[in-house]
Amino acid sequence: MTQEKIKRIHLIYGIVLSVLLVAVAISLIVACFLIYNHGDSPFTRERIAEYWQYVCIPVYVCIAAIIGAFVLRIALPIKEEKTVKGEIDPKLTLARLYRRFDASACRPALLETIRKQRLFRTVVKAVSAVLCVACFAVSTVFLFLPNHIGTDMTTDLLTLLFVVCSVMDAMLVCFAASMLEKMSLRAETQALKLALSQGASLPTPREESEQERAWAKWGKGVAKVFAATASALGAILFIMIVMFACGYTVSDHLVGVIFLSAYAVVLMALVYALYFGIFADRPENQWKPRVLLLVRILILALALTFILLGVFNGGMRDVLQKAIRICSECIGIG
Amino acid sequence: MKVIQWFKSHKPTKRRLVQLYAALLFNANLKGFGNGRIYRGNVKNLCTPGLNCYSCPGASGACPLGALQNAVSSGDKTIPYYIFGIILLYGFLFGRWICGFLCPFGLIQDLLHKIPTPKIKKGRMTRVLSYFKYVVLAVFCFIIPMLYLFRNLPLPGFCKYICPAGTFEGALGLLSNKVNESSLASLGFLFTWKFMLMVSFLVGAIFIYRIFCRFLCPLGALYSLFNKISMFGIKLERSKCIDCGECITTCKMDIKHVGDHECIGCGECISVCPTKAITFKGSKPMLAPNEIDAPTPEEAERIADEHNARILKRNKIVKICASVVMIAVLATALIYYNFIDKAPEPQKPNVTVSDDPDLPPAGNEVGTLCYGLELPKLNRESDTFSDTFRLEDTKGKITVLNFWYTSCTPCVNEMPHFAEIAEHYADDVVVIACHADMASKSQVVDYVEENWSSYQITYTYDSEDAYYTLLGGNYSWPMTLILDENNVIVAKYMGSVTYADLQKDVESILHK
Repeated sequence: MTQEKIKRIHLIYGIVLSVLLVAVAISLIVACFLIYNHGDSPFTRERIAEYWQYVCIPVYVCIAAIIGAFVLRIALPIKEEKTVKGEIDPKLTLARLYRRFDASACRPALLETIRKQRLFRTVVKAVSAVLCVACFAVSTVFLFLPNHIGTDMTTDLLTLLFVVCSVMDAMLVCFAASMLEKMSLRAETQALKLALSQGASLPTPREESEQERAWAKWGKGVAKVFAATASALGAILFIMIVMFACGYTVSDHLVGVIFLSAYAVVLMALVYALYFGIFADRPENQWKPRVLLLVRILILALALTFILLGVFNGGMRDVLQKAIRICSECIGIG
Repeated sequence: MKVIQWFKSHKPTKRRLVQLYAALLFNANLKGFGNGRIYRGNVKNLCTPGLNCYSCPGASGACPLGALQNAVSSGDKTIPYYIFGIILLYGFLFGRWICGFLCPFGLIQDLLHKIPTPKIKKGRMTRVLSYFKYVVLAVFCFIIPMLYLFRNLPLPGFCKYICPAGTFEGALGLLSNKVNESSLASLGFLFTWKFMLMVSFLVGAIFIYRIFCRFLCPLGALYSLFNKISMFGIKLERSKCIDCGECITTCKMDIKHVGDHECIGCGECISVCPTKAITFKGSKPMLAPNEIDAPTPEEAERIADEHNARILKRNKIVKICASVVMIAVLATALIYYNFIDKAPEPQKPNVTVSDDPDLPPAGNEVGTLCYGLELPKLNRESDTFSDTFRLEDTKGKITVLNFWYTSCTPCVNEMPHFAEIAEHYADDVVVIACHADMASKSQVVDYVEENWSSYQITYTYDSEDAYYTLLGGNYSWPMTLILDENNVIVAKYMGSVTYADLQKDVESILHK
């Protein structure tokens, strides 16, 4: 049997197995909903056993099919198994092309295309940022409005649903922005490649100037840490304004608010510093080992200090007290 | 022969063995699956590094995410230094290497992904979706618990509404045991929702690599912040890198470059790097650079240099010692949790038992006579637990006995129902609320005075949860018992109750 036929057999079997798995998952979920719809105290051992009679056969068939898939792999092995591969970031490709790009030798029309694409991406980023902030603002206000804070499950879930929808809206905005950005990057890459093929190319790749190197080394990181801290403070200020507007008093929970605000600031600064800031842009072997060592020592010291403080202020006892009791909410009771 | 060949080419990798080891170590309380009880020893002070619900019968440590949310939601009482310190320490040491090697739920997803079906590839969309876990972290682990903090209701938002590990390990692990059958009656919409999520994630993991870790896990989101500085993980030798991109295209996570915030340190990129520029951090004591497995005999023969041979010999000794230590730790843990450690059982309290032949024998099940309780009672004038409550004093009235504690949200949510029953049936019903040994008496007094000073409920304090255990509690609060005029148990609820449930039972006793 040829490899092509074997691959086709595996593909067909895989599709059938996928359909079976999804069908079994849906049947399990539907069975659970049907049991729930029985009214008060719907989940009993007898009722679960009754519904299990209907779903057990598809489940057993599914298990058999999974075992069959592995047997098939042994009996008809695929010689070359390609791993699932994704795409390289187009921004890296663009950066490489720009190092060889000579703008002075480029045709005006192409140059204009390249500039328009960059402007387009800037506008897309700005609009998506504004929309995301709006979604965040709406969901935060909704969370703190007293009318939406209920004491029963349904109201809580509706509140959550609204918050999740707001967040999903923000995610959709980001997704749309990334799609537009991808299209724009592709157009710019094509234009650049065309320009380079038409002679707008430097003989050797461009070296970074002193100023560019300094900015890449320190300026970007510091600017981003500053921006992160400012946005963390802004978020906390916004939350506190909303709290005041909705009639909550901070004074009753001052310690908690101060601590959580400080933690939010530190966390956001850490996020920016570690991911977007100083460390992320610099490849590891170019870091000064002393700086890395200092940061590690600081964080280790902070961690051990916090643990010790937690032991003495009762935090460790609180963790134990919760851990030795069944969290009924975590397992769906209550 | 084909089977043997297949097994040889698909034998477990070292990473898989470490994952299995970690899963077994963090769920070493195997007897919990048999007796349907969670481990209650002091070792649960310590948090496991990965996502492992502490309501799982086998769990040997606390879950860091659950502990974090509980800490945030009670942040105005105790500043949660401990859990923040633990997360900082794990992040500093391991970063997201925990996800790749130590997380039991990650292992489950890895194994499910092995099922041979068509897979959904990573792309731009999955890269964008991978940032959603930071939103989940912010909203469900901080904002929601903080919101409920201001309402004096501790609520672990992620654990309650999303966590599939809680449903899979905790719910299914506990509720499948006959001992916990009474808890089935308390399941409702929340369980249905969480069951649906759990099934979706588990089936999704078959088609999408680590669907939960990539898009939803807040613990992974927290640890990702430390990836750059962690002691363990993946590092890239920039001087050797030729930007071919093989590592990025081979990696199943949504990385932009090796070792970034999405990297779980699995090491699959190491074998595909053409210039051997990628290594594990901290690998020098254990491995020669880029050595994942021991060199083959042919490669070992080629190594003629005496210095390298000495290093290899040293590395081999280190590996053997490390393996022996790991096996010893696991064996000790299994023996300790399952045979040696007796979780602290509360002292049996003094109980009075009626010798009336017309009444059923004493017990803690429906139809038996309730044990005679004697508990410290809250004196409303002096605001102390200076009085004593005796169950025999309530004879002649219907007694509603509720076990609760302040940081239990379902307990606190249902208290108004008890107050309503006590008010509507003031002549026939007395409600006793017994607080668990979870907070000090003064904290309980402050809580009651602040929130429920007008309720006609008698508040008592159950030291060491003695009476709760005596009456058949399985360490899941709340628990409610309804006793008739002779203190015979008529109904027993493990979990929340509604006003309708209470009214139905009270009416049935009154009209008997």
